[in-house]
Amino acid sequence: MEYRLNKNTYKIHLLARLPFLLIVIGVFITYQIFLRELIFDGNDSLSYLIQNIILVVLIIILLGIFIFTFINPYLLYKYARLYINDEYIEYHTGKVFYSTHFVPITKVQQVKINRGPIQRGYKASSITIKTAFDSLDTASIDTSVCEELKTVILKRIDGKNHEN
Amino acid sequence: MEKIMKIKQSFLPLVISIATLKSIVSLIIFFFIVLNNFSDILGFFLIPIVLFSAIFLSCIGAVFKYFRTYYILGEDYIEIRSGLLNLKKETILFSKVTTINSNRSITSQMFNAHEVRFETNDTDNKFEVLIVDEVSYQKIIKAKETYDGVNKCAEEEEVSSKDETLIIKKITNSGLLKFSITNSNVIVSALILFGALTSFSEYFKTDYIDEVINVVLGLEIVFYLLSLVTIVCLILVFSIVRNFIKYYDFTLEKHQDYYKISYGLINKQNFTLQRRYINGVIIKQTLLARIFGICEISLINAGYGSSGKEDGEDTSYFILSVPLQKAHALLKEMMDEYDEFYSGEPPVFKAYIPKKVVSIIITIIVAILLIKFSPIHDIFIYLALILFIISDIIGLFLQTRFNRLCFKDNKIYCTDLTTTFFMYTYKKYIVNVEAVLKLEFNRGPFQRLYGVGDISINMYSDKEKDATLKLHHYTHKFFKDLREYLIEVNKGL
Repeated sequence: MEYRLNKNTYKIHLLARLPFLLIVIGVFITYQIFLRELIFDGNDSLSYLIQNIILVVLIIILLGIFIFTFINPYLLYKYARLYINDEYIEYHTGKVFYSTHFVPITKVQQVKINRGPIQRGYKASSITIKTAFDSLDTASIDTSVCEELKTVILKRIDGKNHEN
Repeated sequence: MEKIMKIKQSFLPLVISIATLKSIVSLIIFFFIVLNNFSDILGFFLIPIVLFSAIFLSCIGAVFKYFRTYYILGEDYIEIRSGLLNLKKETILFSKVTTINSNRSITSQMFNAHEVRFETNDTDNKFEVLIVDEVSYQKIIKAKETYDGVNKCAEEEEVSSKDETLIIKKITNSGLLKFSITNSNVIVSALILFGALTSFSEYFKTDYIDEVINVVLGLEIVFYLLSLVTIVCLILVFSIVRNFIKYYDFTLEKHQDYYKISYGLINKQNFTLQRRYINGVIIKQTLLARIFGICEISLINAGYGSSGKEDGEDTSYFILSVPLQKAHALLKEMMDEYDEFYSGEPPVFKAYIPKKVVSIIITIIVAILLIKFSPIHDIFIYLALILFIISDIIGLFLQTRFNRLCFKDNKIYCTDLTTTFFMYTYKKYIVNVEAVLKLEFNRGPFQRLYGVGDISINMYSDKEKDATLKLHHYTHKFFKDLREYLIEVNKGL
């Protein structure tokens, strides 16, 4: 069975990440207007170089967070897929940074459903599949699908245990 | 009927001395910081008052601990009861215990006692440490053995079970010496120290140093060389002394169902390791070890969950300094179904190039910045830069020759070469497929060009760094094959 993410994934992630972007923009503006002159009062070449390095680093961070806030959720929704069958669970994400997580169903120890305040508004939840050492976390999926998934996974684990 | 034994916490003086020693050491460190920051008068009055009251309180605490802690040894569990106001009762089921560790510090050895610690698969297994005498320790071990079915007729087979103990590896002093030499990156440490010292001597240049160079030796280069040789010797001596103290009398004993590893000169460590929990092995060889023809074997076993460390002490199980030709024989002795190592498929080596180019560019930028702004002598930066680039190129060449991965006979066989500035470490992994919990395939934009990605294999392990096996630049098809194999093996379980 193949499952896609919730249709409102973009909005959910945008709303969750926007405050962080605003904080970083605030830090950037505060540094440029107030802190820069306070920290670097000299006009020598070293202080000029450090100022420019800090500026470049801040711009790169800002750009990274901008991409993380506005473009990443769209790509996440477009490319993320969850596959479940009798033997395994597989979760694909990304196109440029492609990633596949594969967990044999016999190794699953715990299934957890998480619902944040924003997810609750859009009837979405994320699912965490835990093994003895590591876990697999998915992005927002429809809550009804999550519950169904949980039942399906637990039934399959139970079935496997009975077989053994 | 269930047989229950009640064992008291042994050795009141030992419990007191451990608590007192710990408090004194921590207080001395604390006062050292206080005295550096506050006036001497405050320290003069404060030290005796706080020190004596802390010692008194710790002694009182130790006395209460002694009288209020005891253990009940059942047929299939051990129960630890402790606490004065907050009563604590811990029941540890033998079925969950993976290892029973005994630590013998100097104080424990003085009283012939064992500090016993139980390890389970849980992530937060912080059980009370038992301080027991030799007889009680043997009782605990025997109870666990009996539970595991080792001694079914304990009384009858008491003598014969002792005969079953087989020492399969004992590291000699020469072996330990080889391990100390090969395991310390002497050249790199010496170069770093030497570079730092000369830079400081340049920075705080005094007439005295100039006089020494000019009058005694006449030539600067001789002075530098002598300093380098002295530093190399000091690092070697330090490494040898440290390893002798830590791993002296390293012995690996084979019992019917478990292995016992013991070592230590001052702190005697004893590990009881269940055979069925061994999920894999790592054969590790540094460049120097390869020259000496020896290797180090680590056992990947299900143990302390994600912590991997106990009281800051690394608790991996490894067998030091084994001659390479004997390593496979030893592993055959230790593991069932262990077979010779298969060579396997290499990764796509073109994919290594972009990462190497990026790392060289970053190094050059850092070097330029250091030349411009740091007090370090330029010649050392140039030297380090050239050495770094050479080390990277040699590393790439060695990786093309050694890195391999294959899966066969319910095992994953893998070789991986890691490079850190002339510290080439060659590792062979042999992992049981049943122990694999999760597979991951990650592909970055550069790897996309070559159609490859990094494969991560997560498994049960006592150490976090051994729990994930990372293999770089393998094709997606190879990952799919591995996945299919894993499904096939899991079907058979």
